[in-house]
Amino acid sequence: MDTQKAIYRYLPMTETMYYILLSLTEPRHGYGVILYVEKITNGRIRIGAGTIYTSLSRLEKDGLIKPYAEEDRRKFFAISEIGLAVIKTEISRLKELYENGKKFEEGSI
Amino acid sequence: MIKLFPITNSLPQNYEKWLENYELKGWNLKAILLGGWIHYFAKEESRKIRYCYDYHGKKKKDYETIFIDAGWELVNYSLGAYTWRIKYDKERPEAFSDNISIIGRNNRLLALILVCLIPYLITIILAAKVYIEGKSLGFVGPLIIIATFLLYVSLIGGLINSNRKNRKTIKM
Repeated sequence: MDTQKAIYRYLPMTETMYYILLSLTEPRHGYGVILYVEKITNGRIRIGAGTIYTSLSRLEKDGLIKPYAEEDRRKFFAISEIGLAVIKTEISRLKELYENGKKFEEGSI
Repeated sequence: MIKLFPITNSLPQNYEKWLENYELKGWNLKAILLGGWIHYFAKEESRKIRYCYDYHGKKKKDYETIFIDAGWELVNYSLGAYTWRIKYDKERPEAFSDNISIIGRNNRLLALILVCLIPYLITIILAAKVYIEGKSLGFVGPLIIIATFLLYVSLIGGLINSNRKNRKTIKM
């Protein structure tokens, strides 16, 4: 899948996909992703084991993440160039949402 | 106590609740036998257990490792179907924490059911041929065919309906 197609397919992102991709900017295995997401969201998001497996499989199939290593039956993944482009585009979209929300609160919109 | 697979609760979420209710009543699941058809329970203690039913076609090491790391216990694996469980105190844990992965699980089951329909339809055609040739199918034959047909229809309809509801509530 090329970058444009991936951006079209994945944006706007679900919270789950957003945080999975964000956590894979460093190589992690499935359970490592669950723990990291729980930590950075202060326990608000606890991704289920079934959800993490199907999400990682989908992201790998679409080329947004790539296998990094395998240790003790644990498969580590890392974000790919396509994945990085997708999450950067999503972050820009979220910034725009935030900026417009802020303008609304300030009464300038 | 031995219980057969609950045909009237055959949707994954209903089957999970069925098992969980027995655990709450103190009937602890000890074994699932014969490809998921026989459930053996022993009367011990009331437990809050979350069950999860999932289908993957074949055994997957990395899939199993994620569940085990997350604290789930594999209760049974047969014919591509996994039954997992985990104890909890307060909030009922979810193995599928978003609607997209629930739809994915339902679609994997739907694919299996549709594949199983092929031999079933062949059986119906053969039974119809026997009937047309004037031979009797007895009383049990048509009953099994009708019961299986109703089970298929309710399962397919239930899974499609569950997917429709989940699609409506996908959160971005």
